[in-house]
Amino acid sequence: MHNVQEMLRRPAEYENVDGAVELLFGFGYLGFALAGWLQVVTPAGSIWQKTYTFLIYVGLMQAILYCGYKAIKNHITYPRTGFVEYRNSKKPWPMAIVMLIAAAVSVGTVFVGRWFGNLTSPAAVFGLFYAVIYAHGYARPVRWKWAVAGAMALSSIAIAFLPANRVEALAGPFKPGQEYLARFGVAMLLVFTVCGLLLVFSGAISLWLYLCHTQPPEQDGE
Amino acid sequence: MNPHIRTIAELDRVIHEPGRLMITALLFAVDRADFLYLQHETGMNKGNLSSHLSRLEEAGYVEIVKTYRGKVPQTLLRLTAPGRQAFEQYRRKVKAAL
Repeated sequence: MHNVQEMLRRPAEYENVDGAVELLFGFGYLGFALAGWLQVVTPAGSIWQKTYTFLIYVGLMQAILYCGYKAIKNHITYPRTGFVEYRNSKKPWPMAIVMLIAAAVSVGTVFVGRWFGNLTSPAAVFGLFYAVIYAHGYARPVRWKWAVAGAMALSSIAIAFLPANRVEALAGPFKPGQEYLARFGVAMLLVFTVCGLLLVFSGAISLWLYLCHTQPPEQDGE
Repeated sequence: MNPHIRTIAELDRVIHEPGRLMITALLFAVDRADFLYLQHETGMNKGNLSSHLSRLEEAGYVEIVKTYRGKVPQTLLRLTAPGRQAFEQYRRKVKAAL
């Protein structure tokens, strides 16, 4: 029965067998981080500060990411190890429970951190939350990815404990009374950048390993 | 007859064969998959896999569609509604028997 359960899990694990999902999310985070940093460093009134520019940027970025994801699947994965189309999940509860637990643990860690240290911002919530989801979704079947999940969690905590003045300096000029918001924004951008880089790194290794271990089959009748 | 032993005796023989059990379990978790994917996951050769799929198709558990991906022939496989029902029933019976 254990083997049957394992077989039932295999198709879900196959979705990221080539690292395409990690690359998709990694470049997505880096794209959002880039848009955020452009808003921080460009002067007021710059084109990067306009809402329509941001919307066009996000639309274009999503289109490029989707095309890249499909290109990996259509030109690399499906010809080598086969095509799979997934069912729409009718049971969202297990994932919702995992997300709730992850959120509770993350918020708890942040509050504990604030009591015991000089926590710059609760932006670590996102990083820790994402590290738990990543561990649950991608690190369970592939052991070395636990290191990526750990790095995500540790770097998020490290960002949360950065000295407040350093983080505020990165935020550029802001109105008095908005220090907390500025710190939160910059910390979020740092978390996005670090998580994005880790995901791209992990996705690229997965893709490289996949290419090394698989070959397209010779074409003949089935 | 002991009801537990009866449960074992009532197991669906079409699904119970290890090769076909692997195929139905994999197809149960997806909407559809192609021949190459099943071959890769089960480690069976083409002849073996084809014969198991034919048996499942005969039983009405699997729907087989031959198509093309670009210029490459592709065999798409999907578990039918009776196939899904049979697999769920099989799982229940095995759990009860164990």
